Amino acid sequence: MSHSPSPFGDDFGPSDESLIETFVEVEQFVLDLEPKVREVNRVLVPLFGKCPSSEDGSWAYIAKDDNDQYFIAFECLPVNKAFGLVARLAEVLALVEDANSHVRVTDSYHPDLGHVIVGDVAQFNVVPHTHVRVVRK
Amino acid sequence: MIPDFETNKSEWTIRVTIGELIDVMSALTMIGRSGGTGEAHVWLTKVPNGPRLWIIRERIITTWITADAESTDPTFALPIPDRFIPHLIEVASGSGGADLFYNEMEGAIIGRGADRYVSTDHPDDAEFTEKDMPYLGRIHGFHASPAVAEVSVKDLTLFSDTVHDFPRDPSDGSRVFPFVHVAIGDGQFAWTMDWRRYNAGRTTGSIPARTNGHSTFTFYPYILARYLRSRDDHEEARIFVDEDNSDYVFITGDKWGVRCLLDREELARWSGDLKAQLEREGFEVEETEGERIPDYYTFTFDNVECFASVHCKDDELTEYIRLTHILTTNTPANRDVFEEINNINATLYGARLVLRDGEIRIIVEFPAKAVTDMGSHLSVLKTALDRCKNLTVFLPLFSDSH
Repeated sequence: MSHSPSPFGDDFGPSDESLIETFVEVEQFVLDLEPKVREVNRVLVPLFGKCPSSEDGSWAYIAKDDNDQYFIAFECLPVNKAFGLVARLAEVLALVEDANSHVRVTDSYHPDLGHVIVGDVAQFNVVPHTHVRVVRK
Repeated sequence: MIPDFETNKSEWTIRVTIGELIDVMSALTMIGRSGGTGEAHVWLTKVPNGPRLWIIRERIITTWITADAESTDPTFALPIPDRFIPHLIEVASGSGGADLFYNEMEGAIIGRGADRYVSTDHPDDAEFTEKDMPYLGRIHGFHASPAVAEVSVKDLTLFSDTVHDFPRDPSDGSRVFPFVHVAIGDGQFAWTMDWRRYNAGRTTGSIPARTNGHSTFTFYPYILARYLRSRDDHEEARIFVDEDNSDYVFITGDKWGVRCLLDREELARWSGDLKAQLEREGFEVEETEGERIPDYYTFTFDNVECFASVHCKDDELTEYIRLTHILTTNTPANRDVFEEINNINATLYGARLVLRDGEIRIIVEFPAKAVTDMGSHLSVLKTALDRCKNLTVFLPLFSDSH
């Protein structure tokens, strides 16, 4: 008679260690890595457009290195497509610089806008000393 | 005796152009210092690794002009008497500029243009301080809610013209002309001058602006408006103010800038009298360090701390003075407290209790013009303070303090 607490017997389930590791890996993949790579693509695709190298236009995907460690990889681009990406990056850079050229701060951010306000005059760190009247007789 | 300007020269020489000297003279003229009287002087210094800097500070205005510096420019702040500037222009004319240096035997500042010299005594007690700085680090506060308007100087002429459009006879006995009310935001720089106290109306103007943020503020505009008239029409100017209780508005162009103190008109009209009357009654009124007129004065009356402040009603014309004593703090706004306040208010004359921000305050208010009768207003406050002494016994039932 079996004394197993399981009504299905002790031999039910992933008793194989390698199978357990596989389940852990799948769990890591689904719960941790996949959301991260999805978030990366969620930002990159609208920013750069669809990646010309992947079928679904994603830029990032999950890969494994030689030591079986996961990492997030990015698609390689054919040479003739690389300049398209560079052009897109230049547009983004121009937008960022344009945004930074205006004074935009949030309530929680308290910057010193001296340079924006008064230009070079904001470069003083200390009060210049006074030239005093000294008479050497 | 024939002077020898070239002996005992300082190690430094500053080569100034006639253009920057004319700019300085123009600024002096526009802020009302062209007379060159008294001990007024312009400061000449150098921005670290930057341009040469001329600074003129006159009451609520600090203005500056930048010019290309030479590597030999000294970094100290040199005081140059206003009266000397026209003479420097004279010696600089025809030679494209003037050399400035110091004679250490005579204690004199010397200007040399070609073979012509002019000298003046170095000011004796001049001291360059933080207040003379257009901007130093964050001494003027953090910028939590900045508002910026970029406008054309040509458009600002409308501002200057309307500010200086006085009623025919503005002398109604008031000592302070109207402040300008300015609003920045939504692509506009707008302003209003209110001459209703002078039997004239309000004048409002607006010019297009590239704006960022919103702000409203008031200041005494006449010196600034006159100064702006001297600026090059073809330039753009940037107007900056911090939204929350800023001390200054900054207006800057390519090679010039102005910092103007912000204040409230009613304070400018009545705070001086209020302070004088309190002192006349024998109170020691706390001095403040800032340039702005303080929002209130603190004094000790009947062994308790009291405050005196000037206010203006929503009609922007009715000004009144309020004397305040904070009786309790952390007081709950419940029915028992309000009933007690109402009961006491029914017995007070000329004073009342209010519950505001968790504080029960005794306040006495009277028209600002009645400030000269401070003795009787203090008498009313004294009566109220006496009457409320019992309240401090009652209030522990409701209050966390007293």
